[in-house]
Amino acid sequence: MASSQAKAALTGFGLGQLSRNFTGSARQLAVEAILAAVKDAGLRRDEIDGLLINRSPLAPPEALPLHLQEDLQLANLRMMSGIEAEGSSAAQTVQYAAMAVMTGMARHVVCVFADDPIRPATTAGQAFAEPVPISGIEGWEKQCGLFGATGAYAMAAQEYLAHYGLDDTAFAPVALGQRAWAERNPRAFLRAPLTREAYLAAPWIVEPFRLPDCAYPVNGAVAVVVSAAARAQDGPAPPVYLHGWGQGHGGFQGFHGRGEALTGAGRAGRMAYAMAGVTPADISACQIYDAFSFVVLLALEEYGICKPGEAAAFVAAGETAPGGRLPCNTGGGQLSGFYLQGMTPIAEAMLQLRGESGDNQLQNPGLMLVTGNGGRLEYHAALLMSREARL
Amino acid sequence: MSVFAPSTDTWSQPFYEGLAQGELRYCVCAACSRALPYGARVCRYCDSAGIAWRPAAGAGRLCAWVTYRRGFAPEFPPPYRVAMVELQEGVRLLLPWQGGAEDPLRQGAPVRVTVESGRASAHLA
Repeated sequence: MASSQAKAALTGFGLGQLSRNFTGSARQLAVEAILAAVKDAGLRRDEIDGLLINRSPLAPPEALPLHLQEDLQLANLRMMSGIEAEGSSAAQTVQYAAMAVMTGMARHVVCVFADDPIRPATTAGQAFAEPVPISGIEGWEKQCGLFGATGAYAMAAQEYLAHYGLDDTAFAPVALGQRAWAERNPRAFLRAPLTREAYLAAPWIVEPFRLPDCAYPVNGAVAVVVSAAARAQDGPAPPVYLHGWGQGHGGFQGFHGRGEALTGAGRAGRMAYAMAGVTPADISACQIYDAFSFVVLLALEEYGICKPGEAAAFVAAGETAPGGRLPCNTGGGQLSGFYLQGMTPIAEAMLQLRGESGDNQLQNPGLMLVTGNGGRLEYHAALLMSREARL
Repeated sequence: MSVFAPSTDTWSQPFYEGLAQGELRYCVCAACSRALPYGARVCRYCDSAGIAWRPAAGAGRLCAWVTYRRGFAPEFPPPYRVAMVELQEGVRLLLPWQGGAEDPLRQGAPVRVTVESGRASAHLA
């Protein structure tokens, strides 16, 4: 491993109440999470000089407005923006915050995601039924009956299965492995043991996805504080260092493309590895954006950890589950832990690297790959995080 | 509102107008005539900004399909299928699938796209 000096650090972490009930608006949950993160970092509110806001692409702009600045009475902001790149946004906020603290534009930047999809009159299923545009023709998904992100991802998943000659049980080890992590995580929402039999008997949502292949949405908020690497030791919380990051954005034209990259994730990964001076072989654990089980398999391949078509066998061998060689989604991920879009993998990484993962705590979490994935595989952002300031 | 409410997007109007006239259309670059993915506003090959719509032959092959086991809209009672088809012109098109939700399908199978009463759908050729 080449030597890498940390570029920035995550010095604070806070949650706004995670719940399957409506306990407060996304805006209120964001305030709660930010106050908790600032306190956790040992900072005063007036020391926060950057605020990056990530709202759900399904929520209206007013759900999480720039007025958060006034809500929180942050008087010293030198940078503020809403970042909108769907599921890749949260990782992007951390990247932009890191660049701001590296250049001196800001010293302590808060990145926040908050969402409240579950309302008294809205179920999680209804909240996420809106079609995801994948046809290129406005309004066409609805006319084809392709509702929800579930349908759009199921289409890519089915093509993946057929392309590599796999059947619809290929995703089971992802769902089972993550549930095994969730069983031992008191913060996870789905903790009841999931057997292969129960998985196979679970209702189809959109074939090839069964219910346990789909993320578990919650209301809630996550905030993190990004500070200069040199300031990371100042606060009370164990610092988490950021060594590399990258983004990649391209369409998804399926597995019979013109020899082009499958998704932008490959580019995001290569950029992050180069920045940290590492290779995929140096990654010791992953927190992968897993809105659907299939995405974990594709990410393991796109980020260069498994060869194309080999991730299913890798996960089936237990390598990503508790006791495996490459622990992945160690709180249960979005499937069994909680779905707060791009902040779920970041939250799980923070807890592991700070040693706060309880029964799931890894002895040595090492170098962790954290990913974000937006749209229908179009938008990707990755982070490389470690306890060590120097690799 | 019906899922078939017309789109107000100007770029896609020629596609919907084609369907209303019983014709399936795809995009080409007005300068180099190569087929472009649906949604492209410029040519991916020659950087020309002009696109033109052409009638598609209606033949293709099956790339992928999904089967909805849960209903989302009254117009689509489950179970039903949606398919991704690569037209012989070389571009991918999402289409409602005509055929039983339990029929065995194979990636790469030849398909026909038909337009009837302004609606396009795909089925095994």
